[in-house]
Amino acid sequence: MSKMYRSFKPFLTIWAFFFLFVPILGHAQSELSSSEKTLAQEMAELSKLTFDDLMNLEITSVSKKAQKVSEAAAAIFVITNEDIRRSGVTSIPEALRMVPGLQVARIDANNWAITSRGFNDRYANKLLVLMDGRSVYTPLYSGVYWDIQDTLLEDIERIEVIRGPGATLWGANAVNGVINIITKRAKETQGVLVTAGTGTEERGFGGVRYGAKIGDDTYYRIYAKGFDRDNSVFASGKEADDSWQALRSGFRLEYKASDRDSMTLQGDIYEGDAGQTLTSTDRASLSMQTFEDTIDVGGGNVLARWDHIFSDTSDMALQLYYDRTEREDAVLKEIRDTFDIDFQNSFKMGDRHEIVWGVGYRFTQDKIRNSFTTSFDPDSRGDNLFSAFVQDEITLIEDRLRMVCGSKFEHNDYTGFEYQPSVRFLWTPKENHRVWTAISRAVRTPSRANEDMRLNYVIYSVPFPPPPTTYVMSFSGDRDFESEELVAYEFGYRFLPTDHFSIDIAVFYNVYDNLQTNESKDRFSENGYLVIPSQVENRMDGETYGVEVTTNCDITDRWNLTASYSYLQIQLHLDASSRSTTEDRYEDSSPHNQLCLKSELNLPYNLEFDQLLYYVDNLSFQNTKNYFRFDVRLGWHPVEDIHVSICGQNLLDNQHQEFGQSSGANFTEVERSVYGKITWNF
Amino acid sequence: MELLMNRYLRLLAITIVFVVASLAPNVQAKDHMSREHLIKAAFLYRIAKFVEWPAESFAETHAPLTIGILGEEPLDVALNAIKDKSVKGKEVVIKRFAQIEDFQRCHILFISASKRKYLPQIFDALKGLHVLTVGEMKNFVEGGGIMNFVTVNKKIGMEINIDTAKKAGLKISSMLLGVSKIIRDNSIKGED
Repeated sequence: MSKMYRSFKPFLTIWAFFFLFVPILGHAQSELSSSEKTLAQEMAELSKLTFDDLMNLEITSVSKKAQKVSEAAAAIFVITNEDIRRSGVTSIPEALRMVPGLQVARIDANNWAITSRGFNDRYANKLLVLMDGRSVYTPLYSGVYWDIQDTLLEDIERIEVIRGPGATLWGANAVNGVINIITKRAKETQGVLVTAGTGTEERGFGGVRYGAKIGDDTYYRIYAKGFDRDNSVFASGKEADDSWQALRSGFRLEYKASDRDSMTLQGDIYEGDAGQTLTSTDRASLSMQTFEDTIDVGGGNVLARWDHIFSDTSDMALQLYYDRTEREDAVLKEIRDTFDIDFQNSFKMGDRHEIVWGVGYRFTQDKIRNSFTTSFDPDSRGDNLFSAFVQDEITLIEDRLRMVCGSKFEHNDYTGFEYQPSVRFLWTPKENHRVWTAISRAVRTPSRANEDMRLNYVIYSVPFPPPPTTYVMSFSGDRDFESEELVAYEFGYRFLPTDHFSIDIAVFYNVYDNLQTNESKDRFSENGYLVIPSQVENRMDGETYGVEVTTNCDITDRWNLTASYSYLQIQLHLDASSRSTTEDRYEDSSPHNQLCLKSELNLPYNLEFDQLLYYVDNLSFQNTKNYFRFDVRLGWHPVEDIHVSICGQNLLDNQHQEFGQSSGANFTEVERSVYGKITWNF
Repeated sequence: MELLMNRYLRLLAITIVFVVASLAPNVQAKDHMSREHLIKAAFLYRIAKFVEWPAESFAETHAPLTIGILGEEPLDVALNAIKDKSVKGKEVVIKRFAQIEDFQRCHILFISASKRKYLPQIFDALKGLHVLTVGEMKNFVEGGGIMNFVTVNKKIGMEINIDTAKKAGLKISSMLLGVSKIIRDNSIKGED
């Protein structure tokens, strides 16, 4: 290891030079009060607009991010389109690394373990993820298949991440957080965009998007993208077999029927395949087999939405979507159809109350092909989910104190009726200071796996007593499994003196009950082998607490620095009656400390120089050491419509591990890589 | 050990740079200028082209057109950023007043929301002076103002009280009236 570092010394010195000195040089260059220059440019543009145009402009503040975040009574972080572009990430899961409070760990080239505030796992189940209002977590495991959450990254308007229970508005499963991926409106993606690139890990990728309008009231876009990603390596350095390729295409159409009505229609289809190395039970040989396998994925979705404005203070939205996912690998094949309909209405009651309420229904149906390793009983099931929510935002003292209280009510086919109330306060003691606090209850309802799954995860034979005996260790779901519960106490403080500097602090204390455990049960005989079973039950409770701090500062007009720090502590307690070893798994699969430093620098000659440094603490249960990760991006836009960039990722290490073994899939390590990209807008 | 030192030293160096930079007192303490301010400033500039003042408002034909800003809003900074301002051949001058007592002759007076409580005194001081008053608060045009910025669905629109405009001797172009909500003194607040 030290040999590697000695050869790295010159590299590190150059990097330190860039990080410390180039920004200072860049700053010296930009002597002109470029702040006024930009203002003059902006005013020059605005003064040329007609009344009609001026009236169509949306007053979002210069930093849209700031406006959204400052008034929220929750721990919210917004990843903007610019953040995604400047960080050089090539996928949505990678973009989430910069969010404090989120734990993002790459398991292999096409798999991530992502969670908010603890309990990380390949199938981490306490996070709700939505794409333009469409829920993308799978009810099979209550987790997210990150390999199929994708779109043309240039078309992402922003990703809103709320850490903490977003259950009131979003529902069950939003126990520890909600991630909302929002794409741009068709009106904002007009013209042609072509993007392509290649690199060491990103063997090749490209995308094309065409946006146009029909008449004055209808805007649309269509896009297609594809990529081919290389294998990672095992800890030994040997090449793994987890490369993946995917193709995706979609459209979005918006029709402004009138001043008060607009309709949106959007959809995507995709297909891909990814490699993995599986270690799983093999019935034929009565032993564990490690082999290379392919995961085939495909699917599509279509979503329709009608927004209607009643008045200044009242509006409604009706949304329907259909989603189909197909997924197949050696141990499981799942086909799932989901239908969802949602209605939402907001209105003002008097001067002080802003009320939002809604109802929804979702039907999800699956068909599973079982295997010896993984099986579900029944192998096909349709589940209904009825939900309703109401929220009142009350102005207690004008401009000073607001209270938000509400609850979500759901009825599902596993546990029946669930309620998730929440009370929040936002206090503005002085102009640039915000203090918020919240108490919420949230539940994580059982997944299909919790109820119906049987997983034979280990098989081995011993030669004695004659005849040889084969043992199978299994894990089973249980119909009596209950929802996991959370009561969260949160507190936050924001200081936003100017548009150029902000500090955001969030503190939380979560009390969990009925957490999932794997209870050992008595052995039994089955089909000639002996089963050593464990069954899912709810015999654990615990507390987690932590702090997340983000500072954002425009050092100059051309140089922005952001730093985020997260601290997390998990303490879990098994019930006295429990015969499980689950607590270590969750206590030690999330890092105690995480740090992210981001520097974005605009250099003369249309150059952009961006750096990201991450630090992630070790995960003792996953045998993963702590690591630093350093990404650098150099961008250049020679003319208005062409962007060229070169990006180096994971530069500090040849390869490093981020997570451990997960449900049979062998982990691989993340390699150092570099890629170049060109984007052309016309 | 040596390699760890290297790693941590780098991290320490960055952290120091960051901490020092973020504590820098002179962190661009610019006025809190939001997009809303810029758009309102652009509106004021444009409004000037669609209103006619009586001849006596201008001391002489070459007298400049004055836009005054009353209150805290930094619209004067935004307006000053427009180079080569001119309306119908007249130069445009921007003035800023902290309170109505400081008022000097101007043709358009933008009254910021912070002056909400002083509207009666303000309108009193302006009686008979042919000043186009523009506000950004509820009930501005009902209470004696001429034009008002309103926010509808995150966009800026205008309300115009044509009776108050008439009383002040101002003629407003139909192009501006066409895109605004018209308020009359003697009717219930209404639009077709």
